[in-house]
Amino acid sequence: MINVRKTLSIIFVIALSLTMACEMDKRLFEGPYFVRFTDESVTQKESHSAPIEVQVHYAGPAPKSDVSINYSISGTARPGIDYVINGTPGKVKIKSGSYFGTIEVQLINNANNILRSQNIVFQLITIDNDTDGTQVGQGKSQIGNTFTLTINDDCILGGNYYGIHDNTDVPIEGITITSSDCENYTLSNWDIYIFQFAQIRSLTFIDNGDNTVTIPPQHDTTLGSTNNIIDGSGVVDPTTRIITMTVRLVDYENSPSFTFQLIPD
Amino acid sequence: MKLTKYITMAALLSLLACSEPLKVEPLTYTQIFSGQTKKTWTIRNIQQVQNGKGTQTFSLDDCITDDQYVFSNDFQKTYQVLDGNNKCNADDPNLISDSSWSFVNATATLTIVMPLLSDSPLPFIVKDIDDTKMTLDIYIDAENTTAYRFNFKSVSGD
Repeated sequence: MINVRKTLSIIFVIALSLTMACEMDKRLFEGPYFVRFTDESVTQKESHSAPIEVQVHYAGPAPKSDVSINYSISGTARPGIDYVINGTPGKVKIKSGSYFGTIEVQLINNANNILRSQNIVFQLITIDNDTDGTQVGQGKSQIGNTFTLTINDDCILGGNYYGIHDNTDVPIEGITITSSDCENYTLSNWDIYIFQFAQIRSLTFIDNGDNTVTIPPQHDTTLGSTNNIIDGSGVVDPTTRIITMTVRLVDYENSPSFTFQLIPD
Repeated sequence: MKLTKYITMAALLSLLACSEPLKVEPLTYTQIFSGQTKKTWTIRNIQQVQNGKGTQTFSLDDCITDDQYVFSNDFQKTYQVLDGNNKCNADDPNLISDSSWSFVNATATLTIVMPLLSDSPLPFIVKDIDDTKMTLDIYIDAENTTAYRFNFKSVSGD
């Protein structure tokens, strides 16, 4: 006769043993836990208009209570002139249950056609009311406790824009104006509701230094391999930095021209 | 008496349950990590993988991606992490870690020092490996819902 009770006991012991044996095999990072910047550095032009999120990361299981980290700010960039910290400068919080916190930096575009760079150096220093032994940076050399944001100066007309043809238009976003010498510029797209089948068409223009720009005659191969010359002009509102630009299709019948506005993003 | 018998049986089964099967492995098996003498890996990227919440990929500075993780196929299984030409800090040492590596086939566990996480050896799950790339995971919570994933590429080896 099979002893049911005995058999069940043996099966239970076997199952428990198998479970325990496999549970022993954990591939787990058990600390010491630490906080660090996710990245080491980032470079942006001063015309970058969206806030820059500098991410701080909790390396370990998501904390059960908020982690408030103190940081220092140094570097050559000037607070209030070159940048502003949104929120409380010197403190960043990783909320309970989350792995990340962010320091939000808003760059101030004070372009003056002098090209150089400045930086902001953030350094994590201490953690408020830490009872878990969380470290700042990893190891003795505190890997990851420093983050450098380099701000490259931009030319006066450089930056991100959106374009409209009429006030009722849905703005076309993602347009950029770039220059390496603050005199000759490249506009990434001038097809602002001009053609029925829009495509990306770039052009170069010259800043005349008197709030006007000139689009010198140039070939635009998106218009075809021949009869593809465009030229034009524009004016800059120095207060709003809005550029009103007129492009002329020189080789087309009656050389039609089109006017659009580029509005800083 | 019966209890002793059960405990003995349980202990025996515990040992057998997750241990490596008794079979002869070729001596070259672990050379996928180390090559015949030495193999160098660099980190392509690091990700945080959360069950049900997706994956976040961290952008890494050149001073991290040029660090070399060197696995040697010597008796001691020497393992070194060398700082690359781009240093995060000017006074960073050239030799970041000098230790050893080990691999358990049954559990696909590679134990190495990962200076970005700890100065002590950590057990990583080998998720994927071939001659040119390697993916290692390590959980960061006891519930095994969130893990760091290190994606490597081999840069030299024999």
